[in-house]
Amino acid sequence: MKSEEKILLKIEHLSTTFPIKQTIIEKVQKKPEKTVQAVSDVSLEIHEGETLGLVGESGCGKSTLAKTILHLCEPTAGSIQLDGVGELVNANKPVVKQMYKNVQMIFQDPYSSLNPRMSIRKMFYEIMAVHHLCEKSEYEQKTKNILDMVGMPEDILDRRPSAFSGGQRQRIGIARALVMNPRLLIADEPVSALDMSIQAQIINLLVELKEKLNLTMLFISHDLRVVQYLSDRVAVMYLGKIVEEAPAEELFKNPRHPYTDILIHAAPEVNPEVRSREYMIEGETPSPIKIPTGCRFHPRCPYAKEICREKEPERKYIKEHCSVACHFPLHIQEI
Amino acid sequence: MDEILKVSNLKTVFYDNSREVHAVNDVSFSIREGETFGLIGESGCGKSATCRSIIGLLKENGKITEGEILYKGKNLVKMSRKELEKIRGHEIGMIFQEPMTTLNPVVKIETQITECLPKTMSRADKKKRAEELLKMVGIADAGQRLSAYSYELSGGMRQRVMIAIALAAGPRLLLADEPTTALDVTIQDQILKLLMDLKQELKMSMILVTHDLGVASQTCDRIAVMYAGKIVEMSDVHALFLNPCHPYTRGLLESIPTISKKGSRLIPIEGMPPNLKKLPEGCAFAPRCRFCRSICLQQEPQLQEVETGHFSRCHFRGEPEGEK
Repeated sequence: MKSEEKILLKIEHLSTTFPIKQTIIEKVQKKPEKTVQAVSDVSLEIHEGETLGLVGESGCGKSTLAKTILHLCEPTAGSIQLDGVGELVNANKPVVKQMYKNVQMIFQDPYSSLNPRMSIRKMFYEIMAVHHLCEKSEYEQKTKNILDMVGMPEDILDRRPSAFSGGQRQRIGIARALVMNPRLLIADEPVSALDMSIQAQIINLLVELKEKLNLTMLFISHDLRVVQYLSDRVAVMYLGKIVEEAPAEELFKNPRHPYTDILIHAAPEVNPEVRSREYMIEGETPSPIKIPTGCRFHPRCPYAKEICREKEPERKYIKEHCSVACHFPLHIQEI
Repeated sequence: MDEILKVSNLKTVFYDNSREVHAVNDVSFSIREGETFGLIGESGCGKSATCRSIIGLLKENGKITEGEILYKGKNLVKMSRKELEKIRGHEIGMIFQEPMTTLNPVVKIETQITECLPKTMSRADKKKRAEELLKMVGIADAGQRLSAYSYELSGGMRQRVMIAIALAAGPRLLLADEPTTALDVTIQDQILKLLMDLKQELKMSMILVTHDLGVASQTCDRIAVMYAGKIVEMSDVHALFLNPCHPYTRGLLESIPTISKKGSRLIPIEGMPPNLKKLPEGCAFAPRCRFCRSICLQQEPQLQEVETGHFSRCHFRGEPEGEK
């Protein structure tokens, strides 16, 4: 990854909060409305042609971030700049439509993300009609081309999603995202619902498509092995914040944030000769409603000191492309 | 070491609209005292059905048609319901995959644990024992948590409660069906550590069902890999991961993305698992196998011992010579 590369998507200080539904008693007592900050002050850049991996545990806000980029949730603060389209936060309808031509998403669950009552043909024709992609006469050929690209036979056009297995459905889901010829593909846990042997097929397909179409990808996953394999750069999220960001090799070799370090070591090693059990993390992720003071990770951090309880660490760049939000980053001497 | 459980030639069939689905097909294995035995495979390969056959919790449309399950020499298949109830939950405990759906949301945690304790115990003793159990599975302020409902707990805590319930009657054999699949990695790490510690402390044997090769390699002593209702490879953990013999096991290991494979393509297993209603003739894995030869399509291979204690269900011991 070179610094002169063009920035495709630039997210600055983005926050997304959701209101918590009040009970009737709370409403009568006129208690102030509480909120959950799912994404909090996130800044990220995605360069053209790279794959950015976004890692974190459930509830850390990684899916909300994806949805916010895609205008499926309204952010409360910050800005999202898409190259060639402009500002996406509070954008008007034509801009949003323009955005969807550039940004598409692959969903996690291939069983619920395809409409069971729509044939494959109808599904693809609808997209092309809504976005006026090409002439009606070209619809069939274009659909067949895309399906061929994801390794599906072309005689499936009149079947419905129920006729396909999980892996095949995910291929159709990827094809649906590619119809628009997007510049940025957001993949939200695209392989976690699949079996091991099918997972490798889909990962290979994504790598292949990325090379062939020069796709830029935001790859969201909780599986570090997959992220490590697919990404050029990786950002780690914890309780709505980016705690570390670095090129993939660097991050897995020299994790700077204690959370990244623990996350890497918590993933069970496949080789039985390597027993990695000395790392143990205490406690569970706190609820985003009650975010701890100071550093959000301090209640679970094995290295927490007094300052971590009081002051929230800022995200600092320790060298080019490597940033970390920690008062006492690890492996600092190896720079 | 003595064998605590011996499963031989187990066949479990599910009836789906009068069609037979052979979920477990001629499965044999035995578990020694104090051992952790892993059952791994993809969804629908029969690992959960094997587990449920052992503990007698098959759905109404499922039936054990052949074979025997010997627990300390007694055949569980032939047992009456009453006899089985003395063993199930007492001698053999089970942890289910989804802690969200297996706990009763309208019953307090305390009641759900004390239910499993002997009826002869007094109420105060039961409560004390329940609190001890919660402490044992690492739940802080156990006394207060007794009066909580399952929806008030996080996923990791619920799984801990599930373990406490399974351990309540002091089982000798614990069946853990994907105990960490629904959890985050850091919580998975905690739960696995807890399970291994408790197993050691209480000198239990354990069957761990998982689809995660990493989890299996870090916790199990011996492993059986299942495919389409059959055991295709069985050996101790080191031989299985370092010297896998069956092409399916090798395929699974090769399809795991690692940093050393970065930049090159993964070698996936092509195709899809077979439909259990119409299994192919010959080896069930043949249509997806890279090394498939004509014999594989005609004749079903038997489970053969390739080295001491290492079994593989393949016509070839390693890579067959010559072209396809």
